[in-house]
Amino acid sequence: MMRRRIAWSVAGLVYACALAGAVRVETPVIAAATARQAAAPAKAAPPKTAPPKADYVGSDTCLGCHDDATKHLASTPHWKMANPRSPVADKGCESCHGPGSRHIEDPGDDSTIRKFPKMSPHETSATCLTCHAKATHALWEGSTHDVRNLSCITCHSVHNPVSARAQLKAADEPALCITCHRTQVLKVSRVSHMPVAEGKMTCTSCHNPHGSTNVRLLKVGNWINESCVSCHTEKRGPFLFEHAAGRESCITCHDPHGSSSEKMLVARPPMLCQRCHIGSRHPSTIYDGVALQARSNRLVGRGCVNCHQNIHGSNHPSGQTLTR
Amino acid sequence: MRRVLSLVFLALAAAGTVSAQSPAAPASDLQVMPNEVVFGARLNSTPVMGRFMRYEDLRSGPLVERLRVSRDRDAWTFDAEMRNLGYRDQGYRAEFNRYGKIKASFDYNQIPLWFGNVERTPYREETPGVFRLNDTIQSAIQNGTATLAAYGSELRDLDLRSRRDTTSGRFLFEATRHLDLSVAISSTKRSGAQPWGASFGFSDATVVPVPLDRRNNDVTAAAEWSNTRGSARIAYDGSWFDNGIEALVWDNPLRFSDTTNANAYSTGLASSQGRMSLWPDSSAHTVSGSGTITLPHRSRLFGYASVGTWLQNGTLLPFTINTAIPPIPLERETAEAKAVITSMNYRYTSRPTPTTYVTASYRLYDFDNQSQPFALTNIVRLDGTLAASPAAETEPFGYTRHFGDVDVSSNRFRYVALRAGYGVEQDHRTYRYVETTTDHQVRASVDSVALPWGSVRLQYDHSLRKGTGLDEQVFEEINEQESLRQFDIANRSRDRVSAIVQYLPIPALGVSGTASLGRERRPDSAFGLQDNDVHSVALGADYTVTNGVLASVSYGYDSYRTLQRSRQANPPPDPTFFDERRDWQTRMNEHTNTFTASLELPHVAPSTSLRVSYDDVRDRSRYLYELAPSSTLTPVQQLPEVSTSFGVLSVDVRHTVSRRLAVGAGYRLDHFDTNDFALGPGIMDTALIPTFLNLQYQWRPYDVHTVYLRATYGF
Repeated sequence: MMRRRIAWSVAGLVYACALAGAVRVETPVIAAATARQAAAPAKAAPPKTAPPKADYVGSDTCLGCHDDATKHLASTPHWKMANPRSPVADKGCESCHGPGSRHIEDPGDDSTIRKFPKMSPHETSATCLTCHAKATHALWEGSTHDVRNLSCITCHSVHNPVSARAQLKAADEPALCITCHRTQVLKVSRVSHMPVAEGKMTCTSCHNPHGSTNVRLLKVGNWINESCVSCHTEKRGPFLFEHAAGRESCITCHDPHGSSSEKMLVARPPMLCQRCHIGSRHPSTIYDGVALQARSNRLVGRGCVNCHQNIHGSNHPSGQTLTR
Repeated sequence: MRRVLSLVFLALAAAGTVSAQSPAAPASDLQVMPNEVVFGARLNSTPVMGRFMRYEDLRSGPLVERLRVSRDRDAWTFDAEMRNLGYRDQGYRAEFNRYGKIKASFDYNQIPLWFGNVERTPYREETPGVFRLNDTIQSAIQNGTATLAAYGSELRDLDLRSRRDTTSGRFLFEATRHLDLSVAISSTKRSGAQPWGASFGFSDATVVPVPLDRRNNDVTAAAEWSNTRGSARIAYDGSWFDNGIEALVWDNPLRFSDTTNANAYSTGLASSQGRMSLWPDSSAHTVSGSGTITLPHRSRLFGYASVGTWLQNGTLLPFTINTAIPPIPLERETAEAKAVITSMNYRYTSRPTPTTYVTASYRLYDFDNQSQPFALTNIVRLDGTLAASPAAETEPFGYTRHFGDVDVSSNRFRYVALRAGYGVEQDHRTYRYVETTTDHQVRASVDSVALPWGSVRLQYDHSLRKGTGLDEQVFEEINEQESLRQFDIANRSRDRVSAIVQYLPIPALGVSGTASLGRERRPDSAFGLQDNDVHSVALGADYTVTNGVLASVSYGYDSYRTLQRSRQANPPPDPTFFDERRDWQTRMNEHTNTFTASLELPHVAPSTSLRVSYDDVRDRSRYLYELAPSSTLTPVQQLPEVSTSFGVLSVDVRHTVSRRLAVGAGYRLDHFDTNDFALGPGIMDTALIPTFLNLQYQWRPYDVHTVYLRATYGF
């Protein structure tokens, strides 16, 4: 109880701080700054790594040498002048790469301009986060990928995207994610799988690679089950009779990426069920080749679930064993 | 067939490329136009549908595979796409973005799920959810003048499938430079039928094609404000699930009239029909708030809190439909099921020095099941036998999880980031044999991502979970061995190590390899799952050159090994319950080999491009039984090995006729083969197995050849 009170207090404090950041006392200095901001169509991040005293030279100057930089960039949202939030509407190339005057003087010196492949992952991400810091990107800092020293440009390309959507460095999400998560992506090819290969789902149907409040970067809800029941809502319940192992976590029994067993189970019934249910009588019976020859309804078909069909929970007064 | 596939395999391996994706039309000299239509025809070689078209509609016929319309202006952009017009997997999507003002999207998507069209059943669906059998045959079987085989004349073919239709829309309004308002709405309908177990007893199990008529509606409304110093978001999420068929009623193939007896749950010879509850209507409502604030010294604080309720108040069915059993009064008419879910998430990140990164977080997830316990005195087992309830009331299971994590990483060395971390998860539960479990994890990783030739990532973690508040009486009440430990909450140690290496010998070629080992041990569990080991190795290579040649290949090997223990016995006071000579164990060994490859040649001939892709998965599993020394059990006959072979080969050729028109042809081979003791061919070749009236649903091997003719026109 005390722990929860502390947690709620911290929640209120953080929320208050966040709102306080929006509420400012309007002093003459702030008012002047506000007026200057109003004249600028979009906020630009102050350069973090650019050295002092560098001046902005304008995108036309940049393109004088880097004439192919906008070849693909021009068709992306980053180069839409009509969007006051876009880099092109602010300082153009220098919105992200920093002021370019010193770079013109000494192009060979990497310290005169922001070259993202040569920057640390956190500094790279910090640049993108000056604009992309809300909605699905709000939890990047401290997320799994951030902690493992990935940056935005690990997966995305501003100048030369390959994918049709989201400016990825690969043709689509599985082709990108397989670079590191090869085992999980290959599982999707197994006989029992989510419809990823069929084009009906993709990695971000379940995950938010930028960070989330849920575990495993799941994008919906705050626990594994909340993510699963966002689509498989019939299993949400609560029910009169619960199956505790399933209520704890769907992945107790299922492999969400794919498996060789029906319904994406991690093993076949009855052996899967016998990992917990060893009791007495039929749960603890060996279902071997003799049972197979007899076509025992506890082995063939869906095994235990042939009878215990309401395996995710039952609302029937006689549903204690999940058979009704 | 296997020789053809093997030759293809070798050819693609020699080409040295990797792709894991479904086949698509290859690149060509076709000019990229804002609008495009891909149309043609498709012809495949088999009328046997089912698993071949599990999530797709690949029937023969004319095809409008894709129609895309887009407009890209300085101030706005519009994009719309339609796929597979008129087929059961069709989809429609549209997006509009007025930069700096509005983003709107619409999506309609159909996902079929095809079980098969050669399933069979003697049941007739009288009304939705009510399945009847021939009364004459039922009566004859009850009287002993016929057997289950008499339903043979009643068998009819089933086209067993379901479909998920999802309609969704999202609207985002950029009210000010800092403030976004959004609303998202989604409605998902699930229709069709699926196999559904419906039993009367050990000797009388049935499977019926339960109809699906349900819908889920979701709404999310949010307001989000942000600037460089912080952000705040409030949101409401609502979800309503409605099931049009909340009860299943089905005839007992062995009984025509109701009776009752003490053994009915075993023989199934009591009730003339069964009644089962299906998924009840439910709703969920969640309000959440979150905020971030940038702090000095490159630090940031994030906080999130939400409160939600899950409600389910479905009307309860009577204890039984068997008229021979006196009605049992219901304590109440409705379920009164409710859970209050509280979630919090706090995270502090900081870079106290340019090369040091610190993350600390706390997460709370509280599933407070506030369902009113439902008093039980007597229950009815499988609509056949009145029995005393083993428990006095239902058990509204709930839990609270606390997570704490700290990670520190150092980029002190130019090409190397070192990270160490600690995490703890403490769970409190109700109605399980262990009240509290605490899982401590330590982890370390090395990430070297800026090397001139590639990157290397290594990670190791060790976790140790222990439980307190063990209540072995729980096992006694349910006739379980007291030394059973349910594996998901049992004391457990786990070690995992993984490595990812990416090597770029030349800019056009990338080679990657991953390897991981995982090992779980449950030393305090005498029964149940004991050990769980996972080994994975994967290799891949991608070759890309500027003239558009793309080649990729990937191979993965996964090995899973588990050990679980049990004792074949009757409940106490029967002496077998305590007899160690009746112990047995199961070892599962599973090996999976996955191979994918693709090759794309944009100029294999003048104005002609070629794409070839191949995906192949081969899995073998074995469940081996082992008996205790001096076992008094009957020697076992081992189950046969389970194997599946699942692959797709596709070849697409496209010839550019003009800058706007390309024509092409494609060939696709889908291959599936299996030996499975549960669902494989030959296991349920009849719907009328003496103790198991089923649908003949099984995994059927196939080799399907599909030919495509396509034209792509840009405009």
